[in-house]
Amino acid sequence: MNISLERISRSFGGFTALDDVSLEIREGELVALLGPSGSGKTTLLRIIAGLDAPDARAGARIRFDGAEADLSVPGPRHVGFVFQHYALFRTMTVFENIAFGLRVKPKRERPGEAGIRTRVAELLSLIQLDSIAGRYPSQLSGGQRQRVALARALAIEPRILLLDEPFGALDAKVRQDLRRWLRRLHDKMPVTSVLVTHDQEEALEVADRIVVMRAGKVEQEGTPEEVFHHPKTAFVMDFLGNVNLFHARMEGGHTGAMTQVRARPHDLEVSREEGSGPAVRGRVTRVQTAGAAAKIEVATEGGEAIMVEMAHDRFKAIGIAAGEAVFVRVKDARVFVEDYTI
Amino acid sequence: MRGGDAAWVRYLLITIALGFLGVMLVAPLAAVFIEAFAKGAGAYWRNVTDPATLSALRLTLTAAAIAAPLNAVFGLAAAWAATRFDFKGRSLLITLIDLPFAVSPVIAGLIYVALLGSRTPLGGWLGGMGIEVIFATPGIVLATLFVTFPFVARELIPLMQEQGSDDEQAAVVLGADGWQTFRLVTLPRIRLALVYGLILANARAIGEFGAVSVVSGHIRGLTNTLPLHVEILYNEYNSVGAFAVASLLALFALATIGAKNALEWRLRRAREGGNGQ
Repeated sequence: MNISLERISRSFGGFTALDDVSLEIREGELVALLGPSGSGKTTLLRIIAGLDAPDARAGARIRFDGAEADLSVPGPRHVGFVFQHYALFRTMTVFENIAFGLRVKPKRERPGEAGIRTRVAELLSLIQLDSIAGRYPSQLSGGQRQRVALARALAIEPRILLLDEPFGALDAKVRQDLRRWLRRLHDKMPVTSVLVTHDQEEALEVADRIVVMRAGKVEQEGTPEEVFHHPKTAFVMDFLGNVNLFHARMEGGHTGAMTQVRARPHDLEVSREEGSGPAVRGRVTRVQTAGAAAKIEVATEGGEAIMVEMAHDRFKAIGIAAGEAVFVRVKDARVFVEDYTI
Repeated sequence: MRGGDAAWVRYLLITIALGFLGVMLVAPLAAVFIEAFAKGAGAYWRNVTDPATLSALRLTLTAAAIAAPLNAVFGLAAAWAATRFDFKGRSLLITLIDLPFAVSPVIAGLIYVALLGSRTPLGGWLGGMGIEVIFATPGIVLATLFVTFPFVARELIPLMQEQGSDDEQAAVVLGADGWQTFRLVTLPRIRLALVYGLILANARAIGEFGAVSVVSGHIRGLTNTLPLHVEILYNEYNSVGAFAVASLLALFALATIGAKNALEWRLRRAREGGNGQ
């Protein structure tokens, strides 16, 4: 289902959670709303679900496949919603939790008992938990609960699936497994999905498109590649990964102006020789090789800490150790207009 | 058991606790039954089956039977409003719920006399339609309602606050209407607390003296409840009668404690089995 949000604002007392946000979500997409807490991402998700209503302002509109939704009454929109803390019905078994959405349907739409059984069995095998139908939520692990919550949301065959920090309360390892599983599930069953997260890795790994939010506004939207490699603002660059900050003096047109230059750790290079081109002099304070890449911390002469990442084979080739004097060269960096200070 | 406590501390504390209970509770309770049977089982039975006693018993149970379900309805509504909605006057509501605990029951009785007595406009108007409130059963029910209404709400509010409304929201987005949400999701989660509140409210309704005493008028066989009847018998120097009726109240109390313990046991089991989230 296509979702079109136009000029949505929402304030709670004096706090503006959403400030004139417009957003298009296309059929079959998995969109991640990414941002720090307080950026308005959960509020936006709840408004799409109809759990909350936007402020009544001229031009505020939500359309589902072109049909305008009534915003004056918050109410169910027949969406699948997965809550951060699962919100499983603890007095019901896994089976009854998943069957709930089917059982509360009006009589003429409700499948018979046999139909409900078949549907729940399908969903149980989809979430690979066939054997636990009779258990209660309290007897499940966090990852199992989250999968049951997802199956419950999918039971009513929603045309939109909304996930509010679905993996936020899980261990790192389980979280990784589950988000890959979610991605595979979405490839198999492409329900239009919106996922709220503050974890950039999760967004980059799972989503087709990322909407980065900040202070109630959309900061940037695009594919994971776009937002990661071509951040439009310093905020997006900072939020999507580690960043080294250099203070530099502009040459050419803006002679004398001080500016901030941002570079990712893997866009820096360390060597013992000064070589050609601008480089920063410093001393290696720490070397960490446990992990996917080797991490080298360098303290500059100005006292700033720089983090450099490189592949293990490259690290072995140059063989740098803590305490050595080195030069850090910038392979790729970014300057954002907003950072100019004159 | 904690490690650091010497044996003598343990024995001293246990002795104090049990001794206090013995002196303050068990002995008086035993005395009630001893006095009640002081002139034999026959006298006890005569007093218990005396028409005035039976009438008082009927009135007490009637008042409790009306007060308890109304209490449940009010308590649910108040707890729902206080925990699920954010509105002006919410904290005032929570404060007002406690009012009956704060004021003396006698005042509760006097409020209704002042409001609905036969010389007041409202009471006169009701009297004109043939409805007597004060010195009649409706007044006793009202007074009982007043003193018992915090019980259910006070049990439910902290529980519902702690549980939050995620489950209800989940039910709503899954397509459940308000009644389905309440019946299938909310009620099963608060059922035990609701029953617990009702047990406490019921115990108070049966035992209430002060508020009921003001509005009752003490008409023997008509507007006497069990506690009032005990007082009347006692004032008439019929100590066997007074204690026999008192023993009925004591039995209600014991039944209440039994029901409460059984429920607490179930609550504990439910919590151990269901400490999810």
